[in-house]
Amino acid sequence: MGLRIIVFSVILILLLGIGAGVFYFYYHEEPVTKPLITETKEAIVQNYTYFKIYYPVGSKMEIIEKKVPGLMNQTKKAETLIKEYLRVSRELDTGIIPPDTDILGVYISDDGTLYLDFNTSLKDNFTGDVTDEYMLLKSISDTMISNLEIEDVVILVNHKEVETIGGHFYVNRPIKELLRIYTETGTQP
Amino acid sequence: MFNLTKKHLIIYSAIILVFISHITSFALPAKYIKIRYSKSDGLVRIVLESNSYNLIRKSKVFTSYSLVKIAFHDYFVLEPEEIETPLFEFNHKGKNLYFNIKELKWIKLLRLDNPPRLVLDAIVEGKEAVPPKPPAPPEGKKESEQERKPVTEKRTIVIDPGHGGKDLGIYNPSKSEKDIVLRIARKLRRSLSRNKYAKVVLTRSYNKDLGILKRIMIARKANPGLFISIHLTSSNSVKIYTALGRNPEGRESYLLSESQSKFINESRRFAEAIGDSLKGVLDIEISYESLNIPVISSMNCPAVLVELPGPDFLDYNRKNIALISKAIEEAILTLWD
Repeated sequence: MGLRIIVFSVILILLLGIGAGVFYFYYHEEPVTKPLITETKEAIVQNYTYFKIYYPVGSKMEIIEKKVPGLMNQTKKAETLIKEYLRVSRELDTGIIPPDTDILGVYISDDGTLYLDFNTSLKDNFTGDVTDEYMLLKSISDTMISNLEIEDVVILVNHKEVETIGGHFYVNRPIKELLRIYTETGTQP
Repeated sequence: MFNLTKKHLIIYSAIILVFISHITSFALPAKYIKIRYSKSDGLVRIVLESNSYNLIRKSKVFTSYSLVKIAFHDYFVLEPEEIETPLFEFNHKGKNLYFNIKELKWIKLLRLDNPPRLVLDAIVEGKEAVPPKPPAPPEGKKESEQERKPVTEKRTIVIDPGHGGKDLGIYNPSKSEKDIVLRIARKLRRSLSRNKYAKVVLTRSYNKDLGILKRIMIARKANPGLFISIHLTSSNSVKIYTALGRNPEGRESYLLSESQSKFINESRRFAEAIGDSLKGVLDIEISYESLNIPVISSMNCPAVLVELPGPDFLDYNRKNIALISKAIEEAILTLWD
């Protein structure tokens, strides 16, 4: 009987040890420390992330490629990508993104929907016609979907859904699906 | 004290395993749908709120007379299971929800997030919401032809001045699209109102915020024979948009494009009439585009969206506004004749 108690105690201690180990490796976070020699670390980085950014020229869409140092997870990649998209739009003066537009947050849901949360400038200062608004939605959708493993994109303004950006098209649903509806010919009667 | 046998150890291990598996299953919350509803004049709004985005997004809605079937892709818990109301009855079977909405005329759908919800706006028979049906047409004609009325009957035209309120549209330091299109719409209303057979409805007659859905509701309530939405373009040209056509079978009626599909050819004729007429007064490039812009694709009549040159390219003084208004009026009267 004594032997059984000893065996059981040893197994229990082992299990507790394994549990503590798992707990430590899963939940313990190393304190954030600055790298001692940052220049050396940057120099070592050999990996790059390549982005295809879509932008409108009149009623046509063109692509520019951008190379960003480092490899990223999906959310970080999405955040970097939308910032690059905004920067490229300003640099190329596409005229569809209001000047003070910025991104407040990026979130990818479990079903693969990317939520892009813009500041109010996107809606308040947008001054475009039907084509401009359509190209704005299409360039965002094409840029995000072609670079990320996502299904669709939802635009939020200041953390909320809005009915429209420029008064011509709905944006209160995932925009890839909406763009398909806007251009869908269907069957003529 | 610790009189443990092999049998005890097996039992304890089994209990621990069962306990862990139950904790895991409890950690995944069950999908639910909560029903709430409200009624205003001629409209019953049913809101299905869920804790699952997929449940709402992947749902499909089918209507047949007063019966509305909502097919979900997964099982769910319904809260509450019963509602006592004379407005509608509902049944929950498997992955489907069935509504029987009394005196249902047509239905609008909206899928919203945060929280995920499906909004069904059921337009029911009522003196305010639904205009009376036109008299039964002779057999053997297409629906669009059937709905044509003789010239001697009063016809309704809805004019939609784009933007408004905080939404300026295209602007320069001195002029904004929302004001220019409102002036054109008002002038057009004054001109058309002289015709005793024309009834003119404006979606907005002053400077106010008006969303897309609200415009559609105002226009459809007026039961128009023609619909024209007036905007400006950011270029020195005129663009006239018509819808593309019907969406495939099974498409929900969110954008109501099926309504417009019956009138595509008439809408294109209307667009050409406006284009020809504007070409006569503005020596400018006219182009025709097809796109399911919600405000026109939702219309149950010939419908166009006209974009006039931006304020940087045309001086919208009194004379030019009168000319543009006259040109559009002539196009409308030509089409009616």
